Parts: sequence; structure tokens; C-alpha cells
Amino acid sequence: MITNLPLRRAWRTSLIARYAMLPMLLAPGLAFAQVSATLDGAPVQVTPFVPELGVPTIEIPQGTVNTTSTGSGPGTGSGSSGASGSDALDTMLAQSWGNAAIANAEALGVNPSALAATCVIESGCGANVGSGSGAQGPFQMYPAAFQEGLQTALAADPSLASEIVQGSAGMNDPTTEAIAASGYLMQANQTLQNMGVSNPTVLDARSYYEFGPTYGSEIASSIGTTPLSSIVPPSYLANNGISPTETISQWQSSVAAQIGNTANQTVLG
Amino acid sequence: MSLKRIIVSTIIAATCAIPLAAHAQNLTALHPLIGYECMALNLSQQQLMDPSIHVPIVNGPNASAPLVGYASATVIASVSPPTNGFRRVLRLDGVPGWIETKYLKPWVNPGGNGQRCIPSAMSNGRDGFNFQ
Repeated sequence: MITNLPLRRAWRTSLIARYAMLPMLLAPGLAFAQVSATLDGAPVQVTPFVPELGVPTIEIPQGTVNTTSTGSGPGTGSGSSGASGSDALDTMLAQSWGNAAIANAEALGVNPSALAATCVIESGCGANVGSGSGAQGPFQMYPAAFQEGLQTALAADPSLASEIVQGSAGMNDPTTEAIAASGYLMQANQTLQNMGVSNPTVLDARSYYEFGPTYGSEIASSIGTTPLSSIVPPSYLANNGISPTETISQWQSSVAAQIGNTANQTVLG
Repeated sequence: MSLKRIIVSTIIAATCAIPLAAHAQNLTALHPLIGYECMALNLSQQQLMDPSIHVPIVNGPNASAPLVGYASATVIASVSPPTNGFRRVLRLDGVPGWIETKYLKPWVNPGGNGQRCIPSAMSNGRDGFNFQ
């Protein structure tokens, strides 16, 4: 578990710029909703209220609208799968191992965007690897978490064994680490559900990662104006560079600023 | 449409979008859960951070009762006296259960900032915590 705070703070500064792009991001969705139409007759006619003297009355039959869809699929995106789009997913897709990570996440039932959000937050999907704390790779997993996640993933889908690099060398292979990270997300999802956090979101999973399962579930279930210090011991916050007065909403916003529209998506799906 | 109008429209759209994207999980409390209080898990900080350690919630006041789920760091506990060494609690989705009293202790604000913890029905339809 790594909290890359300098990265997080830097992303905050670009929050306004990112939201300013939302209308443009939404525009393609609106475009897909449009359906072309043709008429098999004349358009609706306006009937004159007062007919002009000496002019014969002409009735034009009203046409009916024939609609034709411009396409039946979800679009023509460049991705290799049907994964829902997200800012974080685009970042992971730009990596050489991105497509394989998405395919393997989908095989496990993990939302690829949730997986992408993990690598974006942890390392910018590889751009900021090398914390020197023992965590490795684009997902910055520690050996214990790597092994646990990998075991969970392989138990859920044994066929993924053919995709992984065996042994400790697997931690240096992004495809293998992505499978382990997917397994770890599955664990987080299950634990949060066992605590009563139904359908955990990516933000809920981040609470789990950063503060542990018991504090994470409490943060996911508390009012947004709560200072984190009312839940998590201040010493832990200080060690991770978090101000004791930072509220849950502020923390969630800082996470959302890094992963954009992925924050409120569910972990599975 | 003038450039000025386009800019104004964009700013308005962006302003409306911010609460959706950044604060979609900004929970509010609807009302207190009468008859319940906040209690804390009687574990060390290291244990509370350990993903492999779970405090079980079972569906009856005995150790052999089936598992209902796991407890969060703060627990929604009934103010009623324990039964057979178990305190009645609510999971965060409102599912009732029981926790051994040895795992519970009175809730104390870890930050010492004066806020009280009030078990509440939350705006997301689940149960949770209001801090005042």
C-alpha cells in the first residue's frame, strides 16, 4: 500500500481543467443517442387558418417517419474489449501490457476501469515506479499482497496460470502483477461486502487500500464532512502525509481528481 | 452563438458536473438509529489495518452461530445489555447480528477533536455514522 501524495496533490491542481472537459467528454455519448430518420412523404403541413379567396384547397398527405439506426454496436473505439470507457482506462490502455490486463480483469469479473484506477493512483501506470519502500511495479504491490492477490485470481480462473510469470520474477512482469492486482480487488470487494458495503465502488476500494478494511469500510459509511481524524488515528494520517483536518469528501475528491469518472464505478462488472 | 455565451455555458456545465463526479459519495445522515450507539473494536491499530484479521458478526448470541459478516472499526451496537457475552449489532447494510463483547470497547474519538459518533441511517440507503 503506497500513498503517492505528491502525485495526488499535483493532480488536484488540474481538477478544474479536467471538469471543464466534461461537456466535451459527454458529447460523444449524446451523438451515439441520435438516430437518423427519413420521410416517406411530405413533412407535417401548416394548415392556413383563413383560406385565401379564389385559391383551391389542396390537401397533402402527411408523411410517416421511418427511423434507421446508424449502428448496432457500442461504438467503434480502439480498445480491444467491451470495457466501459474511463479516464484511467485510457492511461492503462496506453501501456504495452494494457490490453492483456483488461482482458484478464474481465475474465475475473473485475471492472477494468477499477484495475486501471489502481495503477493510475499507485504509479501513473508505470510512470512513477520506484518508491524504494519494497512495493514494486505499476501497481506498487508488496510481496504478501502480490501473492494473496495472485492466489485469489488463479483460484477464480485457473486458466490464467498460462499468462503469468512464475515465482518472484512475476512481480516485475506487469501482466502478472495486473492479474494479482485484480485478485486483490476481488478480495477488497468481498471483504467490504461482508461488512455491509454493498456493491463497493472504486472509491470504497481505495479506502480499503489506504486505511485498511475496518477503517475503510467505516469511511465508506460516514458523512462526507467528517474529518478523517475522527476515524483514523492521527499518527497514521501523519505518517502518510494526510492532514488531520482533511475530511472524507476532500480525500475522496483528491482520489477522484486522479482517476476521473472511474471513482464511482463499481469494482466488479 | 457568441464565444462569450459558449464560455459561460461551458463553465455552467462544468460547475454542475463537479458535484456529480467529485462528491457522488458525499454521504449525509438522515436520522439517528434509536437504541444504538457507536462502539470500537478492541484491537490494536496494527490489527485494524491488517486485511487478514476479521472480527466476526454471527446471527445469534453464541460462538457456534452462523457467520453474518465482519465488523468495521466502529460498530453500530445496541444499547441493550449483552446476552451470553454477545452484544447485538447492525452490519453496515442494516443486517442484524451479534459480536462477542471481548471484541468491543467504548468508542473514543481517535483524533480527540470533540466530535461524537452517532449511528445513523444514511443517504445511500445503508446504515453508517454521523460525526458531530
